Amino acid sequence: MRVIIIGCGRVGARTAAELDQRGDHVTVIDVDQRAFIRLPSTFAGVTVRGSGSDEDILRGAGADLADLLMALTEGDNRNAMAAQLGKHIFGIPRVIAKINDPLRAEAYRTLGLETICRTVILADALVVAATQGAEATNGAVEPPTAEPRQGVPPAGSRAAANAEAAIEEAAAPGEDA
Amino acid sequence: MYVVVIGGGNVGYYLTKELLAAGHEVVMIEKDPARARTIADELGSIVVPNDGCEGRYQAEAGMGRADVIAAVTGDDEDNLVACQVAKMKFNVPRAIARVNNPSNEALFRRLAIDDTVSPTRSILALIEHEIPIHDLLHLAELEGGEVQIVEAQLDANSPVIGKVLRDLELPEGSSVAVVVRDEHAIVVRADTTLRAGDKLLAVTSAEHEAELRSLLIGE
Amino acid sequence: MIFGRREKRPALLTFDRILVPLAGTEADDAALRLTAILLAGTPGQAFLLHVIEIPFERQLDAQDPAAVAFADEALGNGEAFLAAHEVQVETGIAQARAAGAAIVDDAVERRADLIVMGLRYKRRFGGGWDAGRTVPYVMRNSTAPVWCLRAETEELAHTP
Repeated sequence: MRVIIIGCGRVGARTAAELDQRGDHVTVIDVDQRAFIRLPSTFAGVTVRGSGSDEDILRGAGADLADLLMALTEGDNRNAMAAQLGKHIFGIPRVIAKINDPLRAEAYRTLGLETICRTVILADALVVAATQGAEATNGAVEPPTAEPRQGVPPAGSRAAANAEAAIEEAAAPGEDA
Repeated sequence: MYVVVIGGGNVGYYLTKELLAAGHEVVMIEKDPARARTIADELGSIVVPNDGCEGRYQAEAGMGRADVIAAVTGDDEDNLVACQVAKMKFNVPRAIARVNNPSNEALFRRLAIDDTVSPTRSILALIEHEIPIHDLLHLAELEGGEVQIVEAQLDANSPVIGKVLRDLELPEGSSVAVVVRDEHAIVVRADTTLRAGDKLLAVTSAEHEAELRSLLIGE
Repeated sequence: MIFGRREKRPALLTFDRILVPLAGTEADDAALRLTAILLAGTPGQAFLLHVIEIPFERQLDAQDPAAVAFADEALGNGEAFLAAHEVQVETGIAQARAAGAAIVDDAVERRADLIVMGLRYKRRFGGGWDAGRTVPYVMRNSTAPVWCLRAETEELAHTP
């Protein structure tokens, strides 16, 4: 699959790296050369410095042959425009735009774009984590892997009361209160 | 008319002033609070100090009853989104977008933005007027680019010098409307003879432009 | 009454035309009281003004009978209060996009020598005190002096 990713921020870089590892043909575009540092040294795809909303840059990045375009910059509007450029000028079969405003995302879905909305994803995962536990979130919320060494909790706090109760139970197990 | 102007920079500010002076009802949406307040202090309580790309603030600005939205910020993507939201959510009859990068104009037209204004392209056309070029100068476009109004400068090498208009084999969909000669505009007739130095204003279709160029300019 | 008809009124506290914008809330009470103190038994005039704010979604001259009824009640109450204290009073209603601008314009038109406005004690989410839009606007843009009175409150912004 030929993929063009616009925006080499944390999200774009990680997505590019994973797809590249799976064997897809990935091109990453970013206005800032330094953004490409986020890509792993094993990255076998192509990097292009320039604006992903610029028709010439997109053409140079192979938009005519792309199967998928993902617009992942920090600007909702930039992503909406780049995705539409990909869809309407280059006829790329699938375009995904990162649009963090849920209302705008909804509007753009009526215009034929696939959208990913950070606000909705995070809020939904947090609600599941709160009501059903981290394990129910499919990795979105991850439980701690270790606990730090404890100091003395401040007197009167809940942690102090918990600690006292734990000490009492350990000292006299099995005794009824 | 009720016009909503997106963007309180120089273009938005002067546009709003002119529209008000002409007696139209105008509301501006400008997201920088300090700029919004400065403009409101001068022009009156007609500024919504928020993001004009968001449906909620467009609603607050009365986009529901607007006749025109003019998105004139310095960022093409913001202008595009503002116009699209206005059309999608509020069915505004006419959306005009400022397009800073001329190569975005095609996309905007494709996405049903009614009119685009590219200051870059306008100035470029003015500059090119001063430079002799062996090409057709694009003056205006109609119907989303399908119909072009062009100017051709006939120099001494032009293949049509000395020919009479009726004898020209103009390509399909093309016609010569006006000849500018010695700084006068002449409405052409079938028996007008073309001379070196004439500037022809012609209408042509995008498809046949190249053919027209070869005919009038050569090579 | 502090200054009766027969006493010599200090020149500092003599006003000819006072504009009193009324919001139709308890904020008006203090403003009306001060106006009564200043004008009782004098030839000075009080103008009570209620501004109906029309959002952009509607045309500026849109009819809003409910808003007009609210205005009439507020103005009626104010007028009755001032009349009972022997103050000459006139009332008026205006429709505008923003009350502040309408108030400032009205003061200029009437050549008011003082504007007296009341302000409720309002808190924003997060506890900050909120002066609203209208009073700050009038403070910033009025050429006539502006006396603003704040209503009493049961809760202060910095109390949780």
